[in-house]
Amino acid sequence: MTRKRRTAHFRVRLKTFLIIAAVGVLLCGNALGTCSIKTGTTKTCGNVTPSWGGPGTYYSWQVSPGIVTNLLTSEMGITPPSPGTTQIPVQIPQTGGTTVHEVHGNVAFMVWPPASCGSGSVIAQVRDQSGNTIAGVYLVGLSSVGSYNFPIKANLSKPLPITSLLLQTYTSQCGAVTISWSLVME
Amino acid sequence: MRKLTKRQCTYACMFAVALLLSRPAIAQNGSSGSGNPTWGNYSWQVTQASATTVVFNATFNTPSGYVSIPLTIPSTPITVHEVHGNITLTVPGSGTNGSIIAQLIDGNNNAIACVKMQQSGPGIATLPISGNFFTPLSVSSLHVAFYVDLPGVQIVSISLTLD
Repeated sequence: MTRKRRTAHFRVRLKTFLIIAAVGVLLCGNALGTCSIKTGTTKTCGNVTPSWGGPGTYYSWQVSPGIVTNLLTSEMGITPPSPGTTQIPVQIPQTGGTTVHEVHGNVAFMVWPPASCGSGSVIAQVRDQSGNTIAGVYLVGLSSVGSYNFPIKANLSKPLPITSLLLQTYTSQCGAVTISWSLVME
Repeated sequence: MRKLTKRQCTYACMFAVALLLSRPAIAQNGSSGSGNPTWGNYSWQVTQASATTVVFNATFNTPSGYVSIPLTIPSTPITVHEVHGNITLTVPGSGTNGSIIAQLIDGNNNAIACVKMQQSGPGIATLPISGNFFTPLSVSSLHVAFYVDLPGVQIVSISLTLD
């Protein structure tokens, strides 16, 4: 092999290595969830650009534990085409799980202009690993553009042992929407 | 020495009675604070009787990212069985849209109250807060934390009673 061919070969290998490294960094960043800290004490989190939805669709979630409480915050932005039902798994920080006796917080829904669908609607639920709905809203007939904030408050007479959570959402409208959860679970 | 007239005596008595009546029936401890950070300004007050009341107001002129502001509790620790009150997000005419995370946290990182609110255009959004703690929280310190990432003026008001 001449020196020229060896140099060319080395350059090709170097480029291949750099591309693989770059892809690896991107994939690792996604898998680990490069989370922006929004609540100060985040222990588990996810920040993902999903394959569904239109350009700019995203979701992020985080769970911040205290000695007694767990705080779940999430935000999902969906641009057309609407994905219909989506399910986002959420890890909780406690390895052996925890028990939820009470939940309080809010859910927020925002329909962005221009909204050509007339009215907005969304089903949003926070479920446990067994399919129990800890909190849920079915918002329908909202005016086409605007923001809506609803309180959530519940005492669970039968406490739920949870090991993971699932954010389940159904959207069908053609405008861009944002759905956010903030729940203190204790 | 000049003697007081009957009318002056009456006024003096009424003034003394008014002073006595204006004192709160339950003794209150209080603490307060304020600040002018780069992102805007804030002020707060914590008062304690048999329950503890937290009042907080913050104006965000620019996105702050995550910020945490410690509050002083006059007498600690307090045991929190229940929280109730409200949190309001105001976007004044000069603002665009509002989006905030506002939370009240104790020294053990327990979130006592938290909202993630959104406001489309100028307007006011208010959320009631109500929470019961199955395991009462022993609270020795409190801080209020925010996450704001949208530009435009946003005002957050918090009024919470901890009992």
